[in-house]
Order: sequence, then C-alpha cells, then structure tokens
Amino acid sequence: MSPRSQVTHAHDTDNEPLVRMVGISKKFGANQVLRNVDLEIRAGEVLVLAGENGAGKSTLIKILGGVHTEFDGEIWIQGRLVRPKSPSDAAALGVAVIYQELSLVPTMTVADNVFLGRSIVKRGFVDHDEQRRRAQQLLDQLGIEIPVESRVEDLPIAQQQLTEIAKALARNARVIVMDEPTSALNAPEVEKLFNLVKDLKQRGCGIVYITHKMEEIQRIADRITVLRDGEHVGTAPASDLPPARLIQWLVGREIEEQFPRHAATPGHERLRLRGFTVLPMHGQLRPPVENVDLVVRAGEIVGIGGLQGSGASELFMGLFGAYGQNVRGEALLDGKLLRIQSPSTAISQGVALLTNDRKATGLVLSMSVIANATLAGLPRISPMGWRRPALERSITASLCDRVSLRAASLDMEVEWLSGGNQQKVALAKWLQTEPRLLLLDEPTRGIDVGAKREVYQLMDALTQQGLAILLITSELPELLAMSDRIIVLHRGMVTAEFDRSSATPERVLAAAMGRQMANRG
Amino acid sequence: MAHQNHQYSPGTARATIGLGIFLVSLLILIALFAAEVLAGFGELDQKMQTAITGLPGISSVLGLAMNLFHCHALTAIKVVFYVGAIIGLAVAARAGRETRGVASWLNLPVCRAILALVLVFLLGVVFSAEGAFGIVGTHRDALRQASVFGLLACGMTLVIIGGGIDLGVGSVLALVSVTFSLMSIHWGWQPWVSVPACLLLGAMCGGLAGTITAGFRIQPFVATLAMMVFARGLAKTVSGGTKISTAVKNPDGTFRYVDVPAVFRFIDSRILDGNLSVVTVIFIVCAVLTWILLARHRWGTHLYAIGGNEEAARLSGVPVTSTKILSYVASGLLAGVAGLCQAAQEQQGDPETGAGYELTAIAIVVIGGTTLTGGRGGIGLTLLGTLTIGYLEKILSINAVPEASRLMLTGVIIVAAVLAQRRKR
Repeated sequence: MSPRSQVTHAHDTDNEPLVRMVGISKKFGANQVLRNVDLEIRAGEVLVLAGENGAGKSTLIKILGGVHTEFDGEIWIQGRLVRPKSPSDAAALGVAVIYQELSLVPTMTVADNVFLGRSIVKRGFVDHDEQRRRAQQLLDQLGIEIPVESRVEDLPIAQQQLTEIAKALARNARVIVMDEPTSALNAPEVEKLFNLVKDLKQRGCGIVYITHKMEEIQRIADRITVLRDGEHVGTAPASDLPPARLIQWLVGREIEEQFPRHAATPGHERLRLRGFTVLPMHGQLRPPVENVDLVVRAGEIVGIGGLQGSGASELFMGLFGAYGQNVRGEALLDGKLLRIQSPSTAISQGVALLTNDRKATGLVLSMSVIANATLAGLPRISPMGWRRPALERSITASLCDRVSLRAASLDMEVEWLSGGNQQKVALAKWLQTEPRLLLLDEPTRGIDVGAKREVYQLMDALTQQGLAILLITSELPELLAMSDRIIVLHRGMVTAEFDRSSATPERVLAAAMGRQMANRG
Repeated sequence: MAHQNHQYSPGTARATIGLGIFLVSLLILIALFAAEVLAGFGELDQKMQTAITGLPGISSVLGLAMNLFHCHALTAIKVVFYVGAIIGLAVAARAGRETRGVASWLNLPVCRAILALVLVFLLGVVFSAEGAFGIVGTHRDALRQASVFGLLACGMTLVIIGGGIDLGVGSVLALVSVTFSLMSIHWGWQPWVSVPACLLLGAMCGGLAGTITAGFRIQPFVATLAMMVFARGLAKTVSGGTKISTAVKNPDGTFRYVDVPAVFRFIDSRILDGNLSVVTVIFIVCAVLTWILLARHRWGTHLYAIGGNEEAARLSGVPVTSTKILSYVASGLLAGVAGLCQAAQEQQGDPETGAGYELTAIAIVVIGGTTLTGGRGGIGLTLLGTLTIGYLEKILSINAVPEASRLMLTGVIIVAAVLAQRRKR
C-alpha cells in the first residue's frame, strides 16, 4: 500500500496550532517543487521535517520564512491568515528560521549580531553597553557560554550556531526552524543543542527541525512530517514511525541493504605514513596532526574516526599537498616516497581528495558538468594545453555513467544540480584522474538516502578494482559499516585502531573522545 | 490554486506577442532606413510630411511632437516604431522569465548582449543625423574608435573572468604609446624592433601587477591601482613630461619636423578601398586570438575555474598563481597593442592619453555580460559590448549631442544594460 494514503489526522482538541500551512504549492518556472503540502506546528513540540534532497523541505521553510513570497496556499499563524512578505516580516510574526548558511555578520561581535537590525538606541546612537548586558542576560538564560564581546568570525562554527539561535530568541520567536543545525557540530555540542531544544519546548516554542540523520530524528522528534518530490507523504507521531517505516516513507521503497560493502581482499601496501605531522599554521598552538602512523592496502577502505577538531581533515589536506610543504614525516605510496608539494603534484602521483564541502572547496558551481568533471585531469587530455571538447564530452559521459549521475545536460552549470548529483560530479572529477589512493572526506554529507547508497556502491566497486580508500565520516553507522579497518584520531593523534570485528560504536566513540572519556570510563 | 492547467501558459502567449511587436517594428524601421539610404533623407522626409498631412488625426499629434523636439517627420515616425520595439521586447523578456518556452532564450547572456546592441544600433537608425548613419564612413569610424577600447576590454575580460580587475591598462597604454613614439620618431627604430619591444614593455607591466596581486596576495584593485599610478609616472618620465610628436627639439632649442614614421601611417591606414581601418583589423585579430586561448586552451578553463571558485580550483590541481599572473600579462600585452594603435592614430605619444580608459573597458566588459565577480563571461560578449559602447558614442556624436549629455547618457545606458543582464533564478 502506498504510504501516501497514510496521512494521520491528528485530532487536536486543545488550542490552535502555532502555525498551519495549508495546501502550499510552489513552482520555479515550469518546475513544480511543492504540490499541495500541509504543515502544522504546535506549541511545545519538535516537528521533524524529513525528506530526501530535492523533496521541497527548504522551499517550504523559505515560504514560511518570507524568502519565497509567490506561492499558492494559506498560512495561518496563531489563528490569523498571514502571508510573510520578507524575512523581517516573518520575524515580526514570531517565526525565526536558522538556515544552514548562517546569517551572521562575521566581523561584528556576538552582542551586535544578536541585536542586528533592531539595535538598542539611545539618543540616536547605538547603546553598546545595554546591548552587551541584554545579550549576556539572554545567553545566560539559555545556558550558552559565549563571550558576548568576541567577534563572530573568531568563534568555532558551533558557537556561531548557538549565537544564531540566541538571535532568533532575542526576537521572541515562537516558532523556530532549524535547517540541519548539527551538520557542523561535534557530539558534545550536539548534546548542548538538544538540551537547548528541550528548554525551548518547555517555554512553549514550536520547533521545526530538518535533518538527514536518523539517530537525531529518533532522539528528538515528537512528530514527523515527510515530504517526497514536493508532496506531503504524511505526518505521524514519532512513536508510530520506526526507522524502517520512516525510510520507506522517505524513499518510497524499502532499502533492503543500506551499506553494500563486500568483504575486502586487501592487496599490497598502498600507503604508509610514518610520523606524519602537519605543522601549526595561522597561529595554531599545536600541530593539527601529530605523529600519525597508518597503513592502507590496495582494495581496502580505512575509516578515520574522530570528532570535530580531531585533525582528520587536516591529515587529508596535508597529505594532498594543500598545505604545501608544511608537513613532516614520511609518506610512502606503493613503496615510493610521496612528494608533497601542491595538489597538482599529489594528483600526478595518483592521490585524489574529495573535500568535505563540495560547494566551498569541491566544485566550481558556475562551470558545466563537463568542465568540473575534467578539471583535475585536464592536463592528461589536453595535449600542449589545447583542449579537445569532443573527447572531454565523451569522457564525462562515461564518468557520469560510472557514478550514476543524473543531469539534464552535461553542459548545465553544476549550481543547478541537486546535492547528491553535485557530489557525484565531484567524485567523477577524481575518478577521471585515475587515482591509486582516494581520500574521501565526508562523501555523503548532506545528500539523500538514494544518492548515499550509490556512493557506497561506488566505493565498494572501486576497491574491488584495487583502489585504496581513506574515509572520513561523522556518521558512526557509515564509518562502522563501510570501513575494513578504523583508525581513531583525537586532537591530531591516533588513539585507537580497530578491525571490523572489534569496532563497536561505543569503543570508537570512546577513543574519539580521547583520554577524558577513558579517565571517566 | 489546485487547478493547474499545463496546456496553456499565458506567459508563452505574451512572449510571442511581445516578440511579434518587436520584430514587426524592427522590420519597419529597417525598411524605412533602407528607403532613406536609397532615396536620400530629405526626399523621404518630404514624402512622409505629405503623407502625414493627409491624415488629420495623426498629423496633429506628430506635428506637435515635431515642433516640440524640432525633429523631422521621418524621425518622429521612426521614434514611434522604436518605442514599439522596446515595449515589445520588454513584454517578451518579462514573459520569458516565467516560461521555459519561446522566450526563455531571451534570458541567455549572449541574447541580452545582442539585443542591447540591436537597440543601440536602432537608435542610430532612428536618429540617423539626416542620413549620416547610412554612410559607410560612419560605421568605419565607429569601429575604429571602438577598437582601442575593445583591445583593452579583451584583456580586462580575461582578468575579470579570473576574479580580478586591472585598473592599470589606461596608464600602460600611455606608457607604451609614449615609448613607441620615442623609438619610432626620435630614435628612428625599425618597427620589427620597436613593436616587440613595446609589447614586451606592456606585458612586463601586466606581469608586475599580476605578480604583486597573485604572488603577494594583495587585492587586485589595490595592486593594479598602484600600477595605474606608477605607469603614468613612468610614461611622464620617459617622455620628459611632454608629448612626443614629429616636432623634434634640436640641441639649440629650435624644432625640426620629421616625417610621420611609416609604421604609424600603416597602422592608421585603411584597407578594402578605405572601408575598414587597420586598427579595427588589429582589434579583431587580437579578439579572436584571445577567444581561442580562453575557449580552447587549458589556461582559459583554469581562469574560469579560479574566478568561479579559487579554492576548489587549487584543490583540483590548477596552478592558481601562474594562471592569474598570465591573465595580467595578457591584459598588459593587449594594453600595449592598444598603445601602439593610440600612438599611430594620434601621431604622437602623449603621456596624458588613455586616462579613464580602464573604466570604459570595464564598462564594456560589464555591458557585454561578463560578471564582475568572475567565473562567467567571454570574449564574444565583450565584442558585443565593444560594439554597443562604440556605436552609442558614435550615434550621440553624429547627432551633435554635447559631451556633457553624452557622458550622462552613457552612465544611464550602463546601468540599464547591467540591469537587463542580471541573472534570474
């Protein structure tokens, strides 16, 4: 039976919900992104809005947040029919949206940001003392420990996120929408955020929480609304939606096997690091990566576990030459000393790095699929520097086949692709360089379930062909399922190594949290 | 809201109607212009006047307008169709934003650049200065005058696509122009020595600015601003602060006049029975070479990648620093070519020449549709931008619009063009 008919009509006998969105439809050009979607946000609950990428979650939220102003349907906020015309209009209605891209001004202080747009004014001038006092008061209430005087750009991303939340609350928002708030947070910070959410619930706020992470949904959701392809699949209390059923709603089919990893048959030693260290940069006090020893064999996936600040990404960047010669120690690739100078020398020696942020560091969004897919390997296919467009096209077409990319045209700008397809373009780019060692930093971050599975399948297929993969992922189930061995980093140093049989979530997490955990243990 | 009818889209209908109005107006304007060129402006104007007098309703309206603006009957009629063309286009473009059908191509940067050019060109058709716009010489001169700016704009396009900006080109043009005059007029160097030497000088200026900005990571605006001031000073030093002309000062303080060097006369000459300036040919050749490098060479692709996302480009193995420096070298080189042309046309090396040219070059690039943020654009667009600005200037000047109004109008057109070019999601 189709899950589309499983809409649970909650009979709300108590008061009116905070927000009721009824029959929302939205088109971009000829592209119908939302079709007759309903959403109800009640006071004192966490509503998880779930759906694969492209399901229309962001669009729906942007309509509520006053970003998209042209749509069909009705929005009722506390019993009044409204139509938010701008983000500030929405804020005045008590709706605060915390987007993935934070809307803070990096060069201003926390206090200034919290009161941005409605500064406290005395005789025509901004009253900084009063702002500071009130910001401090607000942060104290929330139990957030952030110095109100510090500039936002100097804060770690987690504290920026908390600042954003404080800013929303400073406007007395009753409805708070969080779009993947934990994507940049580590475990303790996530804990803090969840406590905050609990606190907000008790104050009678309604919270809409968008996430891709199953564990978070299970922990935090009171009710779940699922969207698929712009349609409302259904809404149900979290207790009625166990993971298997939820996934079925999300993808419209059962995923029989989430992690398609075959048993590895490791070959010869592909990469060996001895005492690998990344020197401190930009005023860092300690080296971000210190004395790392590790071995990766051909055909093997070695996972690197660790929390925020573990140095895993820096290890990849250092190895790839992104920090130039700011590294020490020895790296052997297939028994030969790896020259570490620049990304281009790394590429020419058969190393590829999929970065953890495809939009910022992975792709050139303004360029076509072809240009992106051939960017890293261009020297190989442009003799004397002269490009061969027909060859590029045919190479890209076959690469797209390998990564099962779905694009309307190979000439379209990558910007218009969905997250999953963008990631596939980034992967295609590295496959084109025919690497021997593939460094994957968060290869499935922010992509939908279907695309994730295809990335896993690709990883499996590549190792079958003898490629060696180093994998960083912040999703524990993914790390455990895809890695043949796991090396755990804590503050730049290796704290543990597990093979498939000895790795459990608890042990990996304990090692990732380093000594503190062990002491408390 | 629930009843969405996908069979019929009002946007498409409006787009078709708008385009229809535009095309009909366009054809009528061209027909009128063709008749004007064949029969002579005065002749046709007389006929139009008679025709209008026969129609009492129209004659009073048009007559009023003619008296108000002191224009001819023919011009008044053409204005009507010009306004019609603009309205039609606006309707179509607006509809094109909403539909994917007929008119969505109107939103392509190339189309918009072409349409901007067409509208400016039609302006010349409407205000033909009693037929002056129909003479070949007018077009030859428009192209010749635009060529120097076009050369600068080609270099500027490269730099801007790579995410930079080059404010130094106007001064480099002056420096090369002075040096070339000095070498050719005073020292009597042969062109096969002086031309490469001057181009090398231009390229070195570009290379220096590029190294400062890309190598030492100083903002391109600041680095090339420094080059703009420095090269101007160098030009004045080289020339001794005076114009290097064919009046050469003797040691005893008297002047003797030397012949204009052959290379100057060649660059300033015309080919094809005097219908095409050599300067224009030089511009076209340089534009084609630049286009080939940008569209068909790895370096061009790297430039787009750097302008689009520098960090992603670097992590894809793109040699960021050298690619960027080379774009400034190319810009300096093209400014050098422009300097040669400028010297030949002015028949002297003026250290004050080319001031503000860098801004015209940037305006051309932007009007063409290359984005100032980098990563998007191309030489084809810049070519269209060059023609748009060049024709605009020419049309205003043949209609004897005073310079003050001309500058203000150009400002308005720049804003209008960029507004029309704005990308829509």
